Amino acid sequence: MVVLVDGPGAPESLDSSLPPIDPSESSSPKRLWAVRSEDVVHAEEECEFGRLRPAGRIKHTNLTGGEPAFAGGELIYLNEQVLVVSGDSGRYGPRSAQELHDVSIAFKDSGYAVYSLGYDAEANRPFPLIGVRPRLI
Amino acid sequence: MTELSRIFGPESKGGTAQERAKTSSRMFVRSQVQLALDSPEATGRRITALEALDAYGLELLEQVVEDGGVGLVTNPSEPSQTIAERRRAMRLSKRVVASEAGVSVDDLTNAETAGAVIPIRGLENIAQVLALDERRLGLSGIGHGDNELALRLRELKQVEERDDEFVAQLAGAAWVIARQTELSEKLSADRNKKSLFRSKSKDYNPPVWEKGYVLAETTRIRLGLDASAPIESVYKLAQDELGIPIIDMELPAEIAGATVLNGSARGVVLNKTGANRNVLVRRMTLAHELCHLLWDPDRELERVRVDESADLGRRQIRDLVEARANAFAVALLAPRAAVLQTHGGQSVYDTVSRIAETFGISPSAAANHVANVCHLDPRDLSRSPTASAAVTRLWDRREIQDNIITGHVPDSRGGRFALLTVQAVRKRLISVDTAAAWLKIDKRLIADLF
Repeated sequence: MVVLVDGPGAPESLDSSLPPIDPSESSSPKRLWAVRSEDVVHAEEECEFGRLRPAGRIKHTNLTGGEPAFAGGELIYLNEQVLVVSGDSGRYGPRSAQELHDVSIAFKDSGYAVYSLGYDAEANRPFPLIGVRPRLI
Repeated sequence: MTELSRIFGPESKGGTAQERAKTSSRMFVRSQVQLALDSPEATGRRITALEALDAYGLELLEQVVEDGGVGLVTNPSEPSQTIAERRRAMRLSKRVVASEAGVSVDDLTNAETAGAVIPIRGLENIAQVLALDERRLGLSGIGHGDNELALRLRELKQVEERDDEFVAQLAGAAWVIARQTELSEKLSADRNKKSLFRSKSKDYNPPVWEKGYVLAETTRIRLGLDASAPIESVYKLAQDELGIPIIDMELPAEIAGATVLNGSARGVVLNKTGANRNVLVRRMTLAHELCHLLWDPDRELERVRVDESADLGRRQIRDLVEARANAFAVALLAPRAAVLQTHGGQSVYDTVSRIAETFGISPSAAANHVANVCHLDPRDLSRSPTASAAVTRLWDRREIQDNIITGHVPDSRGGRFALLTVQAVRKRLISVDTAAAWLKIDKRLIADLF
């Protein structure tokens, strides 16, 4: 688990959306993130510790120790400047499109270009990583 | 709390997941890409615990309960790939599919574009027009539908030169047939006597009309029908006794009906316009299609067999399958023994008139039938009686269907399908939301029925 550090800033030109992500084919592994009271942490979902868990991967509560957090979700580093972010977390997922947008802006403000999966109004929860085109924030 | 209580709620009862789901008040909600626990703010498709269990399995529901929701799509190209491939396999234009599904062409284009999201109800409508199981759409390796049906529908278009609209209608009917069969089984709503007709007859040797007559007599025996009594309602016989869905639709005027097989569910699509407007003709068409379903080997029927009105009831017809079905139809409705009995002691004209009225067949069909059964010269039948309006009305009343929401539901979804759908809501097999989507009506109308 590592604390999110500020990024180097967004590239100058980016597409407004990306083809749907296939985490199994991504060069960078899927990570879980959580906004805690003092910092933002993230970790590879199927890290060595996770593989020892019953589910074979970590959960968001492994990032928070079961304590409250402002928000949580999943992310993939496309490169050191660009993140794809979802709010898919059972316990800490943003509870509205606005909340997810606010978190995405916070990632952007910390020096990354951010593609968000967005909020699924039909299910009333954030979209998962798979099956939706990420859109540039 | 046990695992099942956690998934289906503490109020659920029973030792199995099925029992728990049936007694659960928990609701789930589905979007294009995920299944979640229901919440007042969610706008997607609400489904009961039993629907969710049947479509997605216990393991996935467990995950939904634990995390609040779970992605259903594991291949990023789904469900768009399935939809696009299916439409192309059936060679249907976007315009026709969009129109039949009640969505815009843009929505259909999005539904066929990986990663684009459209409202779940639109997606479901598109799936239904393509005879796909909309509930499993997006799940890897599932929901791709009956491929042979798709190929046969393409053949109808390319070889038999049927138009797009008609092919799309048949595909939509195939969806209803599959769903009605499933509901009928779950509700034990029919006597499933079609299982008495597992062995088929390949005997089309001349005289083929004789084979049709014998099969009609065998059918009456197997169904426990009186050897010479009229069949009050062929609709009821087909649906209540045999568990064969009958789907009424407005088809091109030259079409009488069709038999359609979707997966393991076979049903009849009946044109409610054209010659079938007349109830006496409609009864014959239905009996003709029953012959196909009960007696013709699958190789003759394929996935879809379309019958044209011009071929039904004709005395001289080259297609032996159709000739046998014609003879079957008239002999099922007006048994040979009854015709002989009626003919004794009265004129041919009176016999024909009496047979038509008593057994609910058209006078022209009765005339041919009397000539065949009583070995008369067809020239003796140059003058046929006509059916009186009173007789037609009488048979119309007898054939009356289960129209519980008449006028609100499209023809293809009315009748028995609507009745079973409402019963399924009563038994909590499906949600009001599902019923409204299946019947294509506002869910307040369904709620008003309770």
